[in-house]
Amino acid sequence: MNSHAEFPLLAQQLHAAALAPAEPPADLWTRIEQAHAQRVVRRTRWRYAGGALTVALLCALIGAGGHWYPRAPAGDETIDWQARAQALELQLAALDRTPTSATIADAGDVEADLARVDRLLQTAYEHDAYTNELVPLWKRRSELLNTLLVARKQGLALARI
Amino acid sequence: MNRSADTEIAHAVDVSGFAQDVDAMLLARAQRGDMAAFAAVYARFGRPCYGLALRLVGSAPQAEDLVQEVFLKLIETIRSYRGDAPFGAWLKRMTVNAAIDQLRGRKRFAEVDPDAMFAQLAAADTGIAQSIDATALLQRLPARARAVVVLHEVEGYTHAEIAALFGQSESYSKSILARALQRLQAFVTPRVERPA
Repeated sequence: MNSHAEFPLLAQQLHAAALAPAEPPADLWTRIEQAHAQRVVRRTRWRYAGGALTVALLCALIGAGGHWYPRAPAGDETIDWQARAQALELQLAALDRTPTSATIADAGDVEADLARVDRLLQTAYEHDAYTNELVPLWKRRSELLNTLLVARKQGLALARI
Repeated sequence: MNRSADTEIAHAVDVSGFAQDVDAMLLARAQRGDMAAFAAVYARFGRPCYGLALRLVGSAPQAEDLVQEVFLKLIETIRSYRGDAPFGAWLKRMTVNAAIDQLRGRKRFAEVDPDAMFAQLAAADTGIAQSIDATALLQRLPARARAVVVLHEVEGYTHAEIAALFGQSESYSKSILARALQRLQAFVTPRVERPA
């Protein structure tokens, strides 16, 4: 249904309405600009508030971190990995250090890694690192020592055959 | 709708001011956030935008709020305008959407249900002289009915488009339009000329 067929007079009036000039208030653009400026200020404030809140949360987390992770050298986990590493080192020392051709390359890589982990551990202790930073290093050291031990044992077995 | 009606509507749309061009330089400045460029866009489109808003929402203060809302949104979203549609058509759609959003926000039964909507008008005066202007006539309609009439009869929207805008069925749009036109016709037809 449309008005053109049924109500021609009405149709004319409706289209006149479409053409009728409607003048917005002279200060409308000024009001829009002011509203936009207020929005920008509000958003900037929210952004700063959000940033400050994030910083405060981070500070709180870092502060709480000191309680969660006691400073080195305390902590059972550290002692376990440390003890394990020391035990493996003793086992290694007890083995014949003569490498075989099959294990030279692998052992060289592992020893280089081991030296790197040792340096990291040294630095960590010098900087009074947290336990959670030390544990992975001691764990890695144990793994490398274990690899080295296995490689040396295999090399020894091959040499004996 | 017949050809002459189509032509009339196309003419109305052209004259309403949304068919103006925005040159690439002005658009680029606006997209960089230059407020002087937005002022220039407002100088071209503020009037048609206000006219359409006024026809759709029916009151000057509401139309002013709507234009403000549309231009604030324009400032924020102009970077997403890629020129797929003419700028005026894009702005017009934005205006219509903002108006419909405002109307859809009114959830009272009497403002949504067609029967309740027109029952409110039953006691209103009819037989107003033909000289009454159409804008004033439209203001006599309930808000949704006015928007449907303006969109369909003046802006050339189809019932399917209107139904989508209101989140209703096409028959809802058709029903409201039919009743609104009858009501408007009663307003413009002098009492003495109406059949008994």
